[in-house]
Amino acid sequence: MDYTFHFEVLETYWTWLAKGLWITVYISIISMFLALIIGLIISICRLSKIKILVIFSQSYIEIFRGIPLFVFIIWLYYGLAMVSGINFEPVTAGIICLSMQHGGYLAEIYRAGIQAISRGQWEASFSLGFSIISTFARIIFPQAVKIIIPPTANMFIGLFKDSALVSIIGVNELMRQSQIATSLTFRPFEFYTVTAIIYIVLTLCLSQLAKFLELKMSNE
Amino acid sequence: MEKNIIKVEKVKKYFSEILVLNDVSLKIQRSNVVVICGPSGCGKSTLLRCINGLEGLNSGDIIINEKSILDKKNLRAIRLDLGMVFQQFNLFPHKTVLENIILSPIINLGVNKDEAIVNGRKLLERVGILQKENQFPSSLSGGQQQRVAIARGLAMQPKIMMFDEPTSALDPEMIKEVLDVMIELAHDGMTMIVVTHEMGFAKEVADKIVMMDEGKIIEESIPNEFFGSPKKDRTKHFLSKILK
Repeated sequence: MDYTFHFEVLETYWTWLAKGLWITVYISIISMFLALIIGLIISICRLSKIKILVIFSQSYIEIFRGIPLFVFIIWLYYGLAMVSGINFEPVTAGIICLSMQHGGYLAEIYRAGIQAISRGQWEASFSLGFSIISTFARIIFPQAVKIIIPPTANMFIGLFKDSALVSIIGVNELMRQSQIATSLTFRPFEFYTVTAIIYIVLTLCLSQLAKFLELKMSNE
Repeated sequence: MEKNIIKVEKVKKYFSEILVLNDVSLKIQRSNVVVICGPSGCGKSTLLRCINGLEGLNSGDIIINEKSILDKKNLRAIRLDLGMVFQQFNLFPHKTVLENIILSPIINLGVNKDEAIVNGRKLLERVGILQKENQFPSSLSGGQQQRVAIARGLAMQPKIMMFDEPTSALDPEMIKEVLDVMIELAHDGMTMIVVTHEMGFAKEVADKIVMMDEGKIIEESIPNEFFGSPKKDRTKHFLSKILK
């Protein structure tokens, strides 16, 4: 136990971490938003009665849920450029990978939430003259949302931490910034401890937001 | 005007390999109350569900208010003519009692909101639960929920009301409050199709009682004959079981 923490290195480098944090938050929020939309579309396809859409959505879920994010990022950023000449900005590539993979996870969460609503709700709504789209939007989905929120929050916490993986293609997000700062100062424990605390605090914010939404929904 | 508001013509319905409706034909006149009874699995609920298009037909036809259910374009208009009350109530749990009632008239009939609310309150008063208008269904008893479900159906001003075992999921002391509402509705001249084992209700208001067994209508008669001198042994047996 002769290691002495020297947190004063942060005085010089805290702006680095702040910059990294901003990029992490930026990538995460956009990816979450896109994942929500992708997940909804894929789950609707999955639940539809049109065979080609079901096959498409099943394949999507199996492929993008199964592929390691690391490989996916490398493939999209370097592989696609080599094969087709399409070059993405590193941040864009990261957002695409995160939102596509988490869209696949969310699709299954949505599906479970939607299927948890009883058949009787659909039938009552149809009997009252609502169309299938109207039934979904007004009757089924608002009920399913309550079921979907907690596991979605869980997924988002995962996404938030997964976003560190985009550092492999040179995006200067929080984790990479603390790596660089570490290599310059040889103070890994100081930087990684602070980085971990930042992740934990933001995760806490996310889960509190989810709790708040859940409570608000159940009061309505 | 055609006097039979509903004509079921030689309907066959399979669930995978199993024949659940076997050549069922039935005519229902305007303002009549028809009670359908029979053992579970006899196809009575399936018949109701075929009438409002929740189940498709394998063959035959159903004509409601001169519109055939086989023509997909008619489906919505037919559903607007038919009110349906389910065994499990199926109220929308995320909407208050009043919202449950006014949602469909506003969206599907284009009634303006104020008018829908006035009308909704009248209906709630009629079924005796106006004081619960701002509560959510989960805080109501089963009997109250079923009365809301009836009010929800009536809010669409249907020409026919269908009831699929409306009292089967209720505690015994709540059955009467629901039946009273239905009896009043029958006396007001509503055309009704009621799948039920409440033979007291059938005796009091039915114009016709239909007995089904194994996917077929085996007997169709007025209450006096049905209870006094049933024609089929199967009916006698059924009645002896449920009347005790």
